[in-house]
Amino acid sequence: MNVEPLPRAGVSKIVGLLEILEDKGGKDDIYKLARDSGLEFGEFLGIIKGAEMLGFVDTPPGDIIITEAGTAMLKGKIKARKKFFKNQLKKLQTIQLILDAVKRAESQRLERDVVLDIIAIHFPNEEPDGFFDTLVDWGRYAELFGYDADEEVFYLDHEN
Amino acid sequence: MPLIKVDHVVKEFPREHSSLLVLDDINVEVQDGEFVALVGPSGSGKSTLLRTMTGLIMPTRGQVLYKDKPLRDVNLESAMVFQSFALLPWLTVQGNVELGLEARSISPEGRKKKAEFYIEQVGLAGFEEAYPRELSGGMKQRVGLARALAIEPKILCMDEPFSALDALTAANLREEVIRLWSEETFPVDTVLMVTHLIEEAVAMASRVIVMSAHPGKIVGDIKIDLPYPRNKMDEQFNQYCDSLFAMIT
Repeated sequence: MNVEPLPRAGVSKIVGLLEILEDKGGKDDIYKLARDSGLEFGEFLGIIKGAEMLGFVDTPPGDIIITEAGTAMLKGKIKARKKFFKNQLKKLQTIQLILDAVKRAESQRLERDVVLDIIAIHFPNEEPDGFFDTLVDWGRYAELFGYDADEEVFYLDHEN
Repeated sequence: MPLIKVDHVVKEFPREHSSLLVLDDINVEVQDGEFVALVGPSGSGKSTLLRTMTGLIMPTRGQVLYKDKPLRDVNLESAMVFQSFALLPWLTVQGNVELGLEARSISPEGRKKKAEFYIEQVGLAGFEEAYPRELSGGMKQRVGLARALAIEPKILCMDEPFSALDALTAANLREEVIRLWSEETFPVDTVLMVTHLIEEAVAMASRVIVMSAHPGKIVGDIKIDLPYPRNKMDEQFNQYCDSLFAMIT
């Protein structure tokens, strides 16, 4: 299975990136967008990576271009956006990997440490906490996964 | 009848041997349904004016009328979204949104339902049990917005709501707030927003009031006659920004 690590990239930043791109006619130079975003360059690249994984942008050398899926994401109201995001999210092999593990777990719940172990096994070169934070942020936004920070339990959202 | 009338308002803050004049003879009328942005440099008293308009600060002289009646206390038909989010770190998203309802006579079950409704409206469904420390700035400000909307105020006040956010997150939230405001299910039809960014004011507001500093005075008041969604690349958008800049400088 070809799985990719999840970058540190919050949903609000990804959608904001798409909105700025759309205002600019759908295409821009990456360096200009990075400069205008005011973000630290490494963080900015993480946002682009996230948007690209979700199919919202293409990045031919030096440029960033919004895709049809990116434009479609912006068209909807908040609820429609969340649903569209969820569809895109479920296409990721990495998400399928986690989804399978949670579905197989008792009561479809996994302790945080178990999820971190899964991440560490499949992505030994990645920083698991950042990966986990993105997994929770994207999962909550998509209403695919939930996370109880008091119990440190990661779970499948009730509607899935 | 205007919804809010600011009538010859002067605000001075006492200092040790003198006083600081922050607002100097301000006269404004806000109509129901307007989205008014107050812009100006720091020291122009725009945040003080916003707070005076909602009764959080009382004027030294002059008066504020709400629905034709003098405002003598905090206007309970208004709610504020703060720059710093102002969330309680030990409460979840659900808890923070319900908090704003506790002072109102609503049953715990009613509070829960109302909070859930507005959490969903602002795109936070799925984050109900998250604590503020788990949230990005953008998600935190959505909580601030849901908390303000949950009390179903007549006027939504926002004090530099996007200035603690990075440019990408701010672009996302601006657009979503405008969308929400345009929807019929949005409980609020009048918005007052303080910002120091002229582009932000032109992107969002139906009317922009420009203030100058030391002391705060109104130096411009224009309607933004552009359809939503607005694009910063449009020529007319730039013309509005240029005109507003000219009023400040």
